[in-house]
Amino acid sequence: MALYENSNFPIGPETETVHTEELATFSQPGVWFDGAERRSIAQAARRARIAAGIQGANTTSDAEHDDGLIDETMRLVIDAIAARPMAITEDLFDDAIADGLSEGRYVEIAGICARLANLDDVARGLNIDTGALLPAQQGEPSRETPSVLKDEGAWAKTIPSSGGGPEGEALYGGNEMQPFIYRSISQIPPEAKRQMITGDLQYLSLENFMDFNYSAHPSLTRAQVEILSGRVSAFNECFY
Amino acid sequence: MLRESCSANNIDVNLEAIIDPRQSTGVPGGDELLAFANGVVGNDTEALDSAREKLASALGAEAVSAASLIVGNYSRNDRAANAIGIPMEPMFLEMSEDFRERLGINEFTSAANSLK
Repeated sequence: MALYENSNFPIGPETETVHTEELATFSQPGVWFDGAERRSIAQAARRARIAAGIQGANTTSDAEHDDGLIDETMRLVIDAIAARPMAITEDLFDDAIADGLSEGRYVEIAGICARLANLDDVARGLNIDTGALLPAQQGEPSRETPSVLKDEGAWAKTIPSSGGGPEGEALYGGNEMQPFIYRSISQIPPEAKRQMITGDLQYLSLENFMDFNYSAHPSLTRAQVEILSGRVSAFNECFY
Repeated sequence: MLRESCSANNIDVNLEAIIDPRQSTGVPGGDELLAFANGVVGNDTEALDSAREKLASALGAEAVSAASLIVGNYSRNDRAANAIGIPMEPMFLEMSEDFRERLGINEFTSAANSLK
């Protein structure tokens, strides 16, 4: 079944395609987690959102199954990012690292939880069921660490805009002023790449960011778009 | 970005409505958009359902689709930003200095990542 087949509100074919690809990534091998582990992280994120009342009761039954691949440290990180982003402090990161979760695994969990929240909030807005997670794909995680990682002032290291090596070039296309939001999960380049793909699609591309009359959505002016973004970020207490 | 996009179109926006959605933004369709955003990210499904209907009536079905995509986008970005503790770029810190304190944004938990 197509992802947005049951939506009473129109969703174009490009969004259908990109979001279908997006959903598939949660069951595919990543950098530090295999497909089954990533799928479990996604399931745990959905359970956390359901428990917090911010995800509808019509979510697919994926959310109910616990296959035991999430340890307690991971669960605490997932719960916070998925369900209570406004309450996250550096203690979450520090405690997870102290408990033995690697920085890379933390960032990959953040990427999964953040990107899944996107899809699930789109579904919530449209009043349709969330997409069912695909069966876990076989294969090993890549375990590839970017050649250049820098402490740029965030809790986890990131690939810098300038001098970011081949991974930086692939991600940022030579843009030496890549906004930090698009460097946030760059320690896991495939996660950052997906964030940028959906950002370009759903919000706007960076080249249009400073055009205050530009909107990627014909039905909304830029000001109306920014009302939505501002309210969501205020709700999530996202200072950035 | 909201202030700048309104200024570019001679709209006198009430930024406080972003923090307190009971207020009106002064932007056409703004009240309906605020209520919808609040509904999607909040835990009141009845309020969301009502907001969705009102948004569709005010701005059309395509606006509901677009609004859902925008809300989802920022749900993702806010989580990534807060989870990694990224600081705001100096340029944006400067641009927002005059209203952050007034709107209580400096009191956000995540403000600590920028106002060190």
